[in-house]
Amino acid sequence: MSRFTFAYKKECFKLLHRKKYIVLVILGILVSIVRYGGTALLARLSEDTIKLTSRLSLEMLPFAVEILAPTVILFAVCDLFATELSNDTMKVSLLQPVSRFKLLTAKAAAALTAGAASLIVMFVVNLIIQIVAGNGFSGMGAAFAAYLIDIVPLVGIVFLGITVNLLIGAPAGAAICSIAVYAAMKYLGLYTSAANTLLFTAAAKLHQMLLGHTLPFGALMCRLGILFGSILILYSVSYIIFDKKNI
Amino acid sequence: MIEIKSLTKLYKNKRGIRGISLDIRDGEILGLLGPNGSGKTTLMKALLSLVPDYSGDIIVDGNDLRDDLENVLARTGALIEAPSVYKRLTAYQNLCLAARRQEDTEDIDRVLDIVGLSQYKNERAGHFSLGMKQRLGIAAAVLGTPDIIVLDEPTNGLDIESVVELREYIHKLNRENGTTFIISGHIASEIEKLCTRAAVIYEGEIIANESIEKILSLYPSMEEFFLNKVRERRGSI
Repeated sequence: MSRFTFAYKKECFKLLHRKKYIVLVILGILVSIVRYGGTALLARLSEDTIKLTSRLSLEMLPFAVEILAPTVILFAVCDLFATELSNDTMKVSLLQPVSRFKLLTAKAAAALTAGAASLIVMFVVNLIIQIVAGNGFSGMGAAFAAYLIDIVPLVGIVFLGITVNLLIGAPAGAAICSIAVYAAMKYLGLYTSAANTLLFTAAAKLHQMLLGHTLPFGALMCRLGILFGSILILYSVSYIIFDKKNI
Repeated sequence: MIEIKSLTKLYKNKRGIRGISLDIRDGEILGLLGPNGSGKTTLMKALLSLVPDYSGDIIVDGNDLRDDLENVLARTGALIEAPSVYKRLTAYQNLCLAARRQEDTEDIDRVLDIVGLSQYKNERAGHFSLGMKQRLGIAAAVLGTPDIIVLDEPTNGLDIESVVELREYIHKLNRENGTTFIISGHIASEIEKLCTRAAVIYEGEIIANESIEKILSLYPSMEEFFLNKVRERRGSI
């Protein structure tokens, strides 16, 4: 096993032992159940004027990629950076035989894995609800592809969280600040069209651009450029800060 | 062999280490003796690259630490300042995280036995006393029997029996495996019993560096040697 893989497994091990991620995913599942139950109730009350959706997995995707997975990721980043700095356990990580670059990448990969795992769980749960509701596997392939594609923009959120954590240091402050920065970017994108074209958070539903063909090629490339450029910049900034950090 | 050349690391408050040059031979037990805030921990942190922005050079077996960090860390165990433990995890899980290589995890039961924590291996480290955390930190440092072991004030929080046992274990490792130790402390008698050579560090500089044998042939005790060197230094400032 390579040193990087060993370091990555250890970071995942740390996250696996925190119950809050299971609680967050359970909350996500409850939202899906309430969403389905609410619609079922409306359908019955309206005598089928309002119909049950046949593609619950796709309908729940925006909630999963814009709220649930980013929350899981930002908490995971906080546990792996600010909490470790505050509890003085970052030394244990830094005494591993990996460079700071590899350690940063291993921690980022572990946080991304937590976010991606929450997405996959949501996909499976929504699919089960969909099947139980009698809508079969309708649109399952497209939905699965959409979930997979939407993991890519989460990388930007990972490095945004890491940068904020390294700058703030204190766990509570870092968690609040990173969530506030992420929320501000989302809202800025929603209310200002200029910001929407510049912020990588606007590409959260990447599947819509790649599977829906709603954008002309030039605009699509521009969006992808902003997404990958932002990831690269945040990766570099977080590495520069992490590499110079005195422990 | 570790060669430290003109090593300087100053913090914002101007404390730290200034132009330290020191050679540490393989199989040596070097004691760093100095008062609180003299720079012992900073020197050890620089050796482990925990303070990366230092000036000067640290050469380990002919390679610059900056270029060969991964390989140096792969064969170095360390306990720096207070032991770092994941409070929610058990002693065993803490050592799993401290393991430098996959195969080191097979050594966990042995090191837990050495530090007398076998019966607590499945208990959360957050419930441990200071002494138990210190023993867990020592277990993490010796896990996998590394070639170089850096111990920052290792006897802090330990009872007398544990101090004697630790001393015997350090000597055993050094004798049987040729492990190089770098041990810091501010109690002269402890360094005298533990080490083969002592370097006095004062206000960020090495002011003396002699073998314990030579020191004891010139001074009645390690304490006298230390006080003499510090007073000499104060007189020269």
